[in-house]
Amino acid sequence: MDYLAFVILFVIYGYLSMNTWRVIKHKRTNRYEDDLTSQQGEIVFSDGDSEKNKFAPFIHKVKQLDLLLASACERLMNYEAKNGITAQVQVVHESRRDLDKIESILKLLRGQPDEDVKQDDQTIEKIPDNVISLFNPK
Amino acid sequence: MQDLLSNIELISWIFDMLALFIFFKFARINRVINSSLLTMTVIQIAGTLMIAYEKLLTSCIENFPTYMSLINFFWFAGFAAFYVVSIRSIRSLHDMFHLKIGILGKYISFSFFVIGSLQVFMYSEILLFNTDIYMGMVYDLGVPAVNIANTIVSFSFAVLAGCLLFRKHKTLKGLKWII
Repeated sequence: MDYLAFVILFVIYGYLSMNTWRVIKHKRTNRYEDDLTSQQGEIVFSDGDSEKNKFAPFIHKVKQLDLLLASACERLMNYEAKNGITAQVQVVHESRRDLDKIESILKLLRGQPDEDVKQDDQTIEKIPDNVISLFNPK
Repeated sequence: MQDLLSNIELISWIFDMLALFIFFKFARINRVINSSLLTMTVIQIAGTLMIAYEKLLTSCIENFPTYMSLINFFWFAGFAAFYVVSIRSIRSLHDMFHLKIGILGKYISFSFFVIGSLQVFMYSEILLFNTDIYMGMVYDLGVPAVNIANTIVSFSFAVLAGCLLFRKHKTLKGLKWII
């Protein structure tokens, strides 16, 4: 019986050591591989092209929107030779607070600063006028 | 000395609660969950569960003194398992929220490892030599000392977070990475 207790105890000790080592050597997981949510953003260009992006859970949503908008801006710059092409950024989300934050950032990026948004949130310089944002609250 | 440490350990939960509250406020104002908040939440939940488990085992010791060897096993192995689950929870929560484990998370995990090791070594001595002469004193003083150190470190981090809030990220912005 004592041997069994001894074995159980050292199995626990093994798990303890392994988990502590993993915590000390921990690296941030890739947020883009997350399948926990069905929330997503989509850019639809007026010439029929489109691009979809899946959103990670709420805490990184705003950063991912920035990436989405940056991607839209990049694509529009490539289409610069063709006049009249627009891009529609569609965001599906759950929380009203997130929507407020996204709208505030869009205001800031379009040169209409919002008091609630700090300068740190600005990751791209300016959204071109032909990027239209559309929000679809659930 | 041992009584003093135990008494200090008993009131340290107030400072842990205060630290958790400050980290919660910090996260709420910045609208971003941080590593320290997750770590403190795990500490509070694990601490509460461990107090309940300790009371259960203490009542077992009073009511069933003949099963002392079994109670000893559940005491030491149980607490070591609690620390394993706590460390695992800290890691899983950070993975879930795609966060890097901060200094506080790593420190707390390491201190849990130290206390868990004390449990294992103490029980090993009881099993092998049927005595607690060597590890007894280390265990009795070490566990409360590490718990008190945890409270001091986490409360200091919380005070730093409070200062960051108060100063609106200007003068102490360089220290934000710690939280």
